[in-house]
Amino acid sequence: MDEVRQALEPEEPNYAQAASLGPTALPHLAELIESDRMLAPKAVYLAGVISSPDSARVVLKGARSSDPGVRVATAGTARYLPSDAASEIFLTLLGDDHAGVRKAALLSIPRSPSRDIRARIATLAQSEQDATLRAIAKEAHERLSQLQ
Amino acid sequence: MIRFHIKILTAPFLSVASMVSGMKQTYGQYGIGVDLVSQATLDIPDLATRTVVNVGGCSGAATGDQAALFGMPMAMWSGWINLGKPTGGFGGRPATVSRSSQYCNVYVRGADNALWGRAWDGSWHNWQKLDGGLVLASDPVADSMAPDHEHVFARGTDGNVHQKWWTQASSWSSWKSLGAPQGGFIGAPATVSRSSQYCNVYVRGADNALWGRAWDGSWHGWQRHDDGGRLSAPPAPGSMTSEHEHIFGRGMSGGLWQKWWLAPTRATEIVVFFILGNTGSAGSLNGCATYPPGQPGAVVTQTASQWTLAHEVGHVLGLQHCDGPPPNCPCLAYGDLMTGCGTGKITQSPPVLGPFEQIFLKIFPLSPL
Repeated sequence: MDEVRQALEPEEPNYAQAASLGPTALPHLAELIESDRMLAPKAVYLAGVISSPDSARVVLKGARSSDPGVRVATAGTARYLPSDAASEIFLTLLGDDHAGVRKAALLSIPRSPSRDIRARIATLAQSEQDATLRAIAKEAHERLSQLQ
Repeated sequence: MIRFHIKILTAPFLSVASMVSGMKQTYGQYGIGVDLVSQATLDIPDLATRTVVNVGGCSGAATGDQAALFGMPMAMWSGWINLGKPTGGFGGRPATVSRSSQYCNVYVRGADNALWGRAWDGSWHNWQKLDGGLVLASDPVADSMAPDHEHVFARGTDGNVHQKWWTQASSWSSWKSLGAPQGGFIGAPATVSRSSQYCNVYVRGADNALWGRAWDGSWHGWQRHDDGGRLSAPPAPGSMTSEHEHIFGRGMSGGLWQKWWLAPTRATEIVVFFILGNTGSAGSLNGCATYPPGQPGAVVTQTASQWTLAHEVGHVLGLQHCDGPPPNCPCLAYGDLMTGCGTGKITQSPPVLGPFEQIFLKIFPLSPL
């Protein structure tokens, strides 16, 4: 746990280096997400960049956090997860109550998102109530359409 | 003197006051004054979306999404909406003021030459006559100095500027005369308040010069701008910061002219945005400088430590990390503000700046020294 904290405590953590802590860090990150509000966003982000089958389970905790700051960080890291896991998390965050979280999700979608995410973005491009987010969704929808 | 502004979109977990105090202590021990010029909790459209910004690396060349913070990626206008008119109608042009994102008021000079208003607080209320005994001889102008304040100015039939104000506590005042410049003035007055502490009223004098009357807790006398400028229409003042005003006017030959005023002391000014969090390739951060890219600004997120504000301002002023990443933390051992191992772990209070950092502050272009 000390090594994990040490990696996350800088103002601007070096996540590439911190990822070398490997899957053994994940249980500590899961604990920090639930117990340390100051480190929680950085913990969930690190969980996503650690390449492990267990990363998605930890990142999902972030998607369910009551702190919108943690959910923002979850959006930022979910794109590093395998497609199925990322899809579940992004679909959750794209429907979040907090507009900032929805924005973070829209800005962080993977380059080749799942069909479900594409469909959700297409819907948001028409129906998102926040004008700023609707514009971002439209832009994302158009970009994804060109890639098809 | 480091002069900076704070714009709060999301309050951090630790108090802003403690961060500002920490910054003053840290730089103050080296004779560097810290002046918080303004601090505002922003109440802007689409606030929640602005609390998340996209940043890349944070080594003085951060990429960012300034438009997502203070601008729309795509401007969108509504269609025209009919708000009707007061009984009997109105003449001239309407005036509007929004003292916060939750309120909007529109004022007109009614056909009866009384002041009429229509208020919005989520929905539009009916037209109301704001009587008070003044017969208006010009269109009204309106402004606000605080979320619980509005005031309206107009010309009376006596040729004077008159003011009427509203506060949450006391509702509407009666009209108060502010007199007129020597020789009188032409047309309607104009007003601007660059902060809650200052208000200026401007008119086109009968001599076509710009005249103004200032309030900074009390009203000062009418002052003529003796700069040779001559107006052919009433002036249009505005303000872009708490230390700035500008005035636009139509000159005698029909061209648009501008003059501006800046507060007398300006060294460096830095803007710090307090936000919820960030996205982007840098990952989740406590803070990032510079933001907006290439500008003397920084973002501080919700999870900032007491010293993060001072640390990020240090980056804006050109300081780099003196150590880090962990476990390489020799600076942390003696409490250097610019440790790359996390200011939350600094036990020295206030943190220190090393000799080279102090020297660098004196030579960096943005240095306050």
